[in-house]
Amino acid sequence: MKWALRRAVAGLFALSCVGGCATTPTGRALPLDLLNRDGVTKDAVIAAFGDPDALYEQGRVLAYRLQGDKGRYGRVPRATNRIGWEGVDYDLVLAFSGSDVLERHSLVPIRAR
Amino acid sequence: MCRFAHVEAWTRRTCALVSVVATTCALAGCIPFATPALLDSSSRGDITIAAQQKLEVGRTTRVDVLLALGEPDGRAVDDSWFAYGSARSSEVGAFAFLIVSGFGFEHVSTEVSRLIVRFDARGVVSSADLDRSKCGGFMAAHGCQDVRGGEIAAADAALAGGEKVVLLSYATSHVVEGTPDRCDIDFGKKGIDGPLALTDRAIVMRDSKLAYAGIAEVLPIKRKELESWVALKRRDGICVFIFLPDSGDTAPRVRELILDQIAAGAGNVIADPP
Repeated sequence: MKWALRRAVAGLFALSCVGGCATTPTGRALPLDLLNRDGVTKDAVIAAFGDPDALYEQGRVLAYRLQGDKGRYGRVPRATNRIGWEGVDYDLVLAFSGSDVLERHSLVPIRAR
Repeated sequence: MCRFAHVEAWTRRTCALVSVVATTCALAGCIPFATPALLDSSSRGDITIAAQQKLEVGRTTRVDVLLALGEPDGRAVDDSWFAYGSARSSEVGAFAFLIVSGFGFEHVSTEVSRLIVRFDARGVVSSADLDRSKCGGFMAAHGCQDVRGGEIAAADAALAGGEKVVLLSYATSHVVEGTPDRCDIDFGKKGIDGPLALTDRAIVMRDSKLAYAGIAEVLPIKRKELESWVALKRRDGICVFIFLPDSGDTAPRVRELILDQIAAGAGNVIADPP
């Protein structure tokens, strides 16, 4: 009986750990240093970062919702991306020229800790 | 105290609820609590005057705005405006303990800050207006300003649909219809949710319009489940009930506006409330 109780407690503890990990999205770190290179194209950015979360100015401006800090940022998972800004620390905004070369970019704090 | 005849039904219900809570607290015990104004979980960081000051009318472009403030919370279909908003809420309430379980009740106060940035045809900022508003309510804040600028989008949609003048617009609304034989709100019947605009000619909701000329009767405000509903009878005999946020204030205002517009158009039968 005592062991069954211990096993149940241990099982619940393990379950809560797994549950906690599953509900804390981390995501793959994005290679933001790519943005500091000369002549970076829109295709290269999309290949590295994936499809953007939003487009502006007929696709000339891309926006990515990121989470993370201290130089390591990942995409906010799409599922949590839907409810306002929950889980979003930064918004990465990239502005491209008419020939799709990166001109300016900005990491805007949204809910930065 | 809750039984006076002149006290309206919903006030009596609220009074009864407060009495039950107060009695429970007195008999069982409560833990009162109050929270500071915390950023809402779905809100972006505070929109302050510093955000507004980053923008220069006639000079800052739409791309500059995006680079400075990030994605907006709401945008026009043609990006002629962006809305940036934040919301902070505080709560005051208590947990009441019963013998084996308990319950909590609270009053929520929310402060919304919203920056509306409008652009001219060249994509340059033509105005940047920051305003703050407060809202509150029992268990949840009601009637708060929409950080996404939903009421502006509703007005835009009405104008795009051929309307000339938008008099009032709301980010959210709920509209239900009665049946041919029953002019009453049936919560079991599916209604329509969405932004709503009142123009000088019609009530516009998404793709549907109810022209003032199509209204046979403006009924007295319908009170149901502690809320106020604008009640109308169409010329086909079907009743239409409109619920808007902060209904206690908005329903009489909207009803008054509809009456004014019908009167201005003349030729309609209007029933005054008893």
